[in-house]
Amino acid sequence: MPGLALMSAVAVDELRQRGLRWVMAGLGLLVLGAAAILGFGWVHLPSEWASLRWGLWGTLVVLGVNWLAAGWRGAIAAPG
Amino acid sequence: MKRAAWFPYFSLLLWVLPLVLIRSGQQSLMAHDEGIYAVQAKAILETGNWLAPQWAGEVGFDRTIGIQWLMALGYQLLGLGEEAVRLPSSMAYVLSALLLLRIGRLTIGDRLGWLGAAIFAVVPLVAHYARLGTQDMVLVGLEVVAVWALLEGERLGHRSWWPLVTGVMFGWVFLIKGFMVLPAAVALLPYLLFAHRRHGHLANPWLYLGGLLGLVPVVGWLWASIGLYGTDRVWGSLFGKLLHLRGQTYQGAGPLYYFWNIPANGFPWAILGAIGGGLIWGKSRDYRMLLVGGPLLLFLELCLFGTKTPYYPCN
Repeated sequence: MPGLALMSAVAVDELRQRGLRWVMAGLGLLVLGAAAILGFGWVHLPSEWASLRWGLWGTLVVLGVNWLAAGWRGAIAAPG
Repeated sequence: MKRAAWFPYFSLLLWVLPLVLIRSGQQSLMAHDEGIYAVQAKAILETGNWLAPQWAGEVGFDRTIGIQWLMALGYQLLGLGEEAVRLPSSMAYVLSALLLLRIGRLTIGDRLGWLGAAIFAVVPLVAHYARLGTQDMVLVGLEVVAVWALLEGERLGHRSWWPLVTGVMFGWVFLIKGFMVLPAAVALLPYLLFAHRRHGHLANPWLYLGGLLGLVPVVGWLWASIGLYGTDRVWGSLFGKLLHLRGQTYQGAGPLYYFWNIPANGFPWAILGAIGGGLIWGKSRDYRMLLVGGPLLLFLELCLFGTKTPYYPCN
C-alpha cells in the first residue's frame, strides 16, 4: 500500500494537470459498477468485512455519482 | 520565504494523528486475530514467558512473537486494554506516513511526496489496520523503514552505512510476521538488481552486516525456544504454518481474488495507483523499479500464494 499511495499521488497530479473530464467520468462509471456488484451481493466479502458492506456501498455510490457528474459537466463545458 | 524543513512533516502529522487517535471508546477487540494477539501478550506478562506464544495455557509456535512482545510492552505502558493492544499499530502507522513522505520527497518530489503520504493515511485498508492490534501495520512500518534507509544510503553514495538499517529490518520483520519476510525481501529485488549501478547496495557490506545483526534476535529467540521446547515443536510449527497457508485457500478465494479485493479495500486509490504506476514507469527511469516494479512483484507473489486474505496487501 505505501507504493500504491505514491503511485496514486502521481496519478492525481497528472489528472489535475490534464483536467479530469473523461477520466473522472470513466472512473465514476467504474465506481458505480463496483457499487452494483457489491449491492447485488455478487461478491462474497470475508466475514470481518461483511459489516462494512453498506458503508462501502454508500461510499461507492456517492463517489461514483459525484465523479460521473463532474466528469460529464467538464466534458460538456470543454468538449474534445 | 522558504518554508521550514519540518513543516511538511508537521502538517502531515496534523492530518494523520486525528485519523488514528479519534476512535470509539467502545470498540472491542475484533475476531479473530486481535483477540489472539491480545491474549498471547497478556499471557507473556502473566507467566513471565517471553519465548513462547501461549493460548489457553498451551504453548504453540504457529506464529512468531514480535507483535506479542510489543503489545506486552504496551500493557506495561498503558495497562491492560484495547488501546495498549493497538498502540504498536497506531505508532507504526504514524511512522510509516512520516517516512513515506521522506521516501516520496527523495523519489517523486516534495509536493507529490506529501500527497502520497496523505493518501497512504486514508487508504481504507491502511486506515482500518492502523486501528487494529495485529501484525500488519507494524510489518508495513518496518518495510517502510527498510526502503527509506536504502534511499538515504543511495543519496549519500556508495558504501554509506544506511543499508545496515535495512538489513536489520529483515530480522525484525521475521519476528513480527514470520516468513512474510520472504515476499517482502523479494519485492525489493527489482530495485536492488536493476538499479545496482546507481546505488551499489548489493556490494555494500553494511547491508549484509545489518542482515547479520537482524538475525541476532531471531536466532536468539529460536535458539532459546528450541532449547526449551524442541525443534519439532518450534521449527516444525513455524514451517508447518507456512506450508499450511501456502496450500489452503481462505474462504474460497481464487487466483483473481486480489484483482477485486485490492481495488475494493484500496478504493479509490488502487484505481488511481494503477494509472500512476504507468506514469511513473514511463517518466522515472531511476525509481520505477522501486515504486512500480516492487509493488507489482509483491502483487504477483500474493496472487500465487495459496492463502489470500484482505490484509496481506497492506504491505
